[in-house]
Amino acid sequence: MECEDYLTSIEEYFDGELDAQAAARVRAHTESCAGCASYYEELKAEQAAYAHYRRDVDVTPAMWAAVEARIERENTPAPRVDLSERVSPFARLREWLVAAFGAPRLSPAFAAALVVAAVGITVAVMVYTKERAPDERPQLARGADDAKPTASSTPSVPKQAPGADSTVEEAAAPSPEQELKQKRREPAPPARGARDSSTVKVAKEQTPEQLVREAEQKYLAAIAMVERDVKRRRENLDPALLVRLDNALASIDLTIEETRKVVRQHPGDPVALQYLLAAYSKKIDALREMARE
Amino acid sequence: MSRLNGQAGAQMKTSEEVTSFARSGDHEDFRLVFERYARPIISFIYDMVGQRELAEDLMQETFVRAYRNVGSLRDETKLSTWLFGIAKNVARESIRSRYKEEGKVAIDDDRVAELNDGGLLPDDELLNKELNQAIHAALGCLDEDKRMVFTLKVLHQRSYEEIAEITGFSIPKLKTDLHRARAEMRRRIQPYLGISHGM
Repeated sequence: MECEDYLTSIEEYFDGELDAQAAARVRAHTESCAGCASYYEELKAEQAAYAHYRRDVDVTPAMWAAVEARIERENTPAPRVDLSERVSPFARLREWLVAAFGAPRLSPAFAAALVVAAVGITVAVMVYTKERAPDERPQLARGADDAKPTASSTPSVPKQAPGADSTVEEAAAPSPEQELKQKRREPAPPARGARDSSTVKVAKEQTPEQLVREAEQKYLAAIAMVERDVKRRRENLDPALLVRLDNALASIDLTIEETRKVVRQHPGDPVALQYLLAAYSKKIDALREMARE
Repeated sequence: MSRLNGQAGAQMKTSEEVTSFARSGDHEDFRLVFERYARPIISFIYDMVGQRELAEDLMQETFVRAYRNVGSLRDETKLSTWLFGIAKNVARESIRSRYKEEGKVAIDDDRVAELNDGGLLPDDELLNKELNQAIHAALGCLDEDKRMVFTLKVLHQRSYEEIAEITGFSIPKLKTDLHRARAEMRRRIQPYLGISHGM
């Protein structure tokens, strides 16, 4: 056996992978061969250097938190979308979405169309709420100051259904808060509303809370569809990208949850509504990104 | 659920405790698995992909996949090998999707910048940093199979049998890859071995 042939055997010997008989043979050779003995020493020196190799990575608590969040997110069932309820202004759009649920596969182009529709809803709501905002904001602020003595305005009824404030009728003299509610129920002035007839039509028929609920359902429907598409494509995504997108989705879900709470407590706050719908829009964007990869 | 305390190694549990995750799939047991194996797994992935942020993301993905697929773990005593196998798949998928053409990993530039930041360092520390950088760069020059085998054997002290199980390579192939990888690494780091101290 030539020294050249011993090289891999010496490595196996160094790695502790040889049986006793083969190890004894290699040991005997290295004792009688200066070149092979030198090679063995070289392996030892290299291993000593590699043993001190320091990597530019560390494990932080945030990493476990991220893993845990992803696991919990996967274990949490997707929100169920109830499309049985019908309200007139967006009825046709909803029917279109319901039909889309039956589609066997969501193409990126179709997903994009859904997003356009959802964004349209957002814009309609935002336009409406902005129209209202100059009148409502100061009163909302005052309402917040007056919240303590006014039972109907406290967050003690957080589960009140959106739009249900029309059922909260007080018999006593109207407080500023009640005046605000009454004002909310009134249609927009013709002169201001004439700039956008479609918005006015929507505004006349629905409260902002109803509009938001509508928009929310559309978003949830769109999200559910894109999620189904993404689920099928997850296996093909770059794992690193998948992690980033999952983390982004988890963060958006958290935002949605927190914003929902605020909207429930302050159903007429246009800023909170815009945040909520913007969060839905961002979630669709993130899902689209995953579907497109 | 309690949080990772940042000292992963400090709370190592026995194999029985850790591998009870394999039997139960319990969330809390899984945290123990994470605490025990997060560091070797992220190190292995970093050795494979060469970039810190990418390695962090891929380590997360590895553990999420492990949690998801615990049912496929047949031999709970080989939890470590199983985790390394998942990490290998995750790293390989990422490498292939990013570097389909050349199969090489990129090297973090900030490490080079760190070496050349002009700061005054004791000679030994400077030389060791240079050797560290040379090893990192040399790893990035190995092709994927050699890098994997070299990393698992030399940097993670896995047996040939374990490496074969993790990589799916035959023993003769991994021996050949390991021998060639050692030779390539030697050629690149030898200039630093002669001048470094304390390593």
